[in-house]
Amino acid sequence: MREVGQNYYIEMQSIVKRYATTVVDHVDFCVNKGEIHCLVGENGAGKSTLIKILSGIVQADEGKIFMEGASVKIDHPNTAHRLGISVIPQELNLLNKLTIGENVFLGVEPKNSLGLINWEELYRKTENQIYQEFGIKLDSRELISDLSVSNRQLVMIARALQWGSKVLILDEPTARLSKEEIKRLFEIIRNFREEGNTIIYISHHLEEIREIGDIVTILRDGKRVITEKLQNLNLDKIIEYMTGKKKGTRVSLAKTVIEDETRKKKLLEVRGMLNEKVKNIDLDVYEGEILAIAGVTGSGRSEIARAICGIDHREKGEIKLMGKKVKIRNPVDAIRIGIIYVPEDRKSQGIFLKMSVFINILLNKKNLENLSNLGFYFIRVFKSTAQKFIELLNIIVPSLDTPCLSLSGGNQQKVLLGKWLTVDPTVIILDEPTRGIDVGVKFEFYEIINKLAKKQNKGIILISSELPEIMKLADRILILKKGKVVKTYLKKDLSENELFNLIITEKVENEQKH
Amino acid sequence: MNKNIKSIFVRLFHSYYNIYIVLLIIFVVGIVSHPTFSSPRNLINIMRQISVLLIVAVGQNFVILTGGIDLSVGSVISFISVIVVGMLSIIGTPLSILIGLSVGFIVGAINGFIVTRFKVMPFLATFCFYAIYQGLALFIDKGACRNIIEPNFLKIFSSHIFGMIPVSIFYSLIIFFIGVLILSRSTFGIKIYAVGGNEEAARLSGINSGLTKLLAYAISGLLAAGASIILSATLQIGDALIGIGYDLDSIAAVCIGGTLLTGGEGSVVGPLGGALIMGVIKNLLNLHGMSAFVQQIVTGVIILVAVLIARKKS
Repeated sequence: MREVGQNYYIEMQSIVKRYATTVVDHVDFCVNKGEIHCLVGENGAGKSTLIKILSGIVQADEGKIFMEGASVKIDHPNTAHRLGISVIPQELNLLNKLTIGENVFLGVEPKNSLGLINWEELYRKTENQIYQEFGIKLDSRELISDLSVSNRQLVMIARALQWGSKVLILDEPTARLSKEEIKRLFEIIRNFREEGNTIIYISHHLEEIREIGDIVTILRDGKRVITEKLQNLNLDKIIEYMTGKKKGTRVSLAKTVIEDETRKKKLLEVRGMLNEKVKNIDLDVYEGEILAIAGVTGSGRSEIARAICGIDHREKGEIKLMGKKVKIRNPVDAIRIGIIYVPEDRKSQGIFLKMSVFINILLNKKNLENLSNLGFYFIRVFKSTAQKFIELLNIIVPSLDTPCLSLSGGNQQKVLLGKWLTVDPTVIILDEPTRGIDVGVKFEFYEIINKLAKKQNKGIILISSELPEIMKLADRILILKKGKVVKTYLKKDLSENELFNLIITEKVENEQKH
Repeated sequence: MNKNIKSIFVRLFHSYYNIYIVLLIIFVVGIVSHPTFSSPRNLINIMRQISVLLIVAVGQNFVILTGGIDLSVGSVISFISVIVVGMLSIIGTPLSILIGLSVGFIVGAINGFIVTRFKVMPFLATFCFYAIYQGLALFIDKGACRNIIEPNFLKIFSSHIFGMIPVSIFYSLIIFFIGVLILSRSTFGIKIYAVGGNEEAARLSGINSGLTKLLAYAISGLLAAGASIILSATLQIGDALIGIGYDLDSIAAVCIGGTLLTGGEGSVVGPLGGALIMGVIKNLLNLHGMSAFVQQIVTGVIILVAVLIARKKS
């Protein structure tokens, strides 16, 4: 266990931050030079606030920060930059309409003798730097908006290095990366450490943390639980520290998955669905079944869902629901017949952040029509209906009037799911339902999803880039490659490694063709 | 405070600015600084002066909540004034009113159609119609301002209730309460906030965002037409320049009332607060005998200071 006052590289002493409640409660956070220090904790444990304090985005109410023994006051992001601390946030804040070079040298552009920007040098330097640091070649004149998420991340890191950063703070860096890209990122992180620099790594993915991290600090409810070398901790122990619960009390889902050989009623049948993104998709979903769609980012996973639900346009293709041919021209049609899509990006596609919880839970066409008279509604009726689903899904809200903005990610996701359960759908398409959600709530979600299929006989399509999640939940797994269905496997015929290989081999082929 | 009442209070007055405190301050300043300010007669006068603005602002609030803006309302007021007053002596009062309101609804719907169907920026689309309707009004009017001689029309729109309260106050408050009801108790109100707050999520929820926006503009046009009829009756003229200034004033009233120009967030009662602040300031400056030019300067300064004071800390 680390204690303060032993000359660490960065020392945050007894940090306190209060909003409505105390979110960071006398936390000591000590980081040594040249280590990869992981920071974990459930949502609301205080990780992001602590990092925001270190990077000057918010100020602590109490506590001191020391760097190399000297007391520092980080009251602005610029101060953090001067001290060599850079954050690579989850939502990358690059200027999308500028080039890679412009972003990397933003504010520190090389000038020529007339004091104008020396573009040649800027672009050449950028390319050299990215090649030297990361070993890949990028055209530094390319626009950020044309880059993949993973390459954007590299640009962010390159910019931090350009600013001379000695401390990189990575917040959920792998959330939107494929396995290959994660590997590359880890190599970059390790190289950075070899040069004597320091990394603070925040992630929900405990496996990843065990792979990359040297030492971990675990927060729970705003307090530091422990700081310990990762080699001394196993996964169960970490989860125990995070949740404060012993292993036995957590839900084990493996048991609840029913091995059901007898094919039940076919709920959804898609034949020959075609548009710009997906090619000749055939798929079936049976009653009480979870069909997982697995594939690399960009293989068209979400696009299948969007095409089925009439969100994106379909050129060809037939959709049958319970044997009957149905016409789905837009989301309204899909909702009416009972096929619903819970989108992956809840902030931009799902939740109405400024609207209250109870309105959010009911905000879809079917509810608005069913629960109103001549277009008018009673708040009382709305609230009591919403309350049922809040209890059903165990959503933690201060009040029904709270805007969704102030809920944690897990609770927002539950609101989003609840909103669709209110219409009692037949087929539910879940797109990355547990992305960015902490471990405890994740298990709750697994339980809910499993229950929906096995107890309520819904047909579920699960889109996920987390293979353990697929292995845990799915009955069948559909492998997707460049918008085409490669093959559908029974889950019991595949191991996680085999599944991983199936997806990765596609990736290699993809890259060869480029 | 009772929790239920508190929640209703929060919902009604939820606002980006604590503008009602500012309103209170201005009122107190008024009462202290001028003896006749708080007289019933003067208060009625203030309400009469803001009634037209309030009606326009209620419509404008719908549009701004969807994330749009309607610059055409001033011209629509002028345009409707000219055609309604022009028709009065020919086809009679009821038909003229009906046609006036219908035209208002339709021109608003056209705004909405251009914005939603062709994805033209609301500012640009409504700016073009601002020019078109102003031009049309002047073209029809040929610069002549007509007096209203139709007694029925004046009786409906510019008489007094109990011999003292102008009927325009009554109309404006009714329209305001209907607006509040729609925004806070109807599914259309939810759709307005949803489309303004997150259009993509609204679409995925099965909400027809195009239709919702189009209706918001249509309501704005309809209410501009209603405001035009009341304004014409109050001034007893039909005039091609009668609506000048109501576009920006209504936008200001909505914003002062706490609705964000980015849409999706704002108070349902905001337009009343905004219009009251503007009306009370103007009234107070008039009482103190300030010249019209100085009034403009002072009004700008007071509103700026008010907004700075009322700014909620984020």
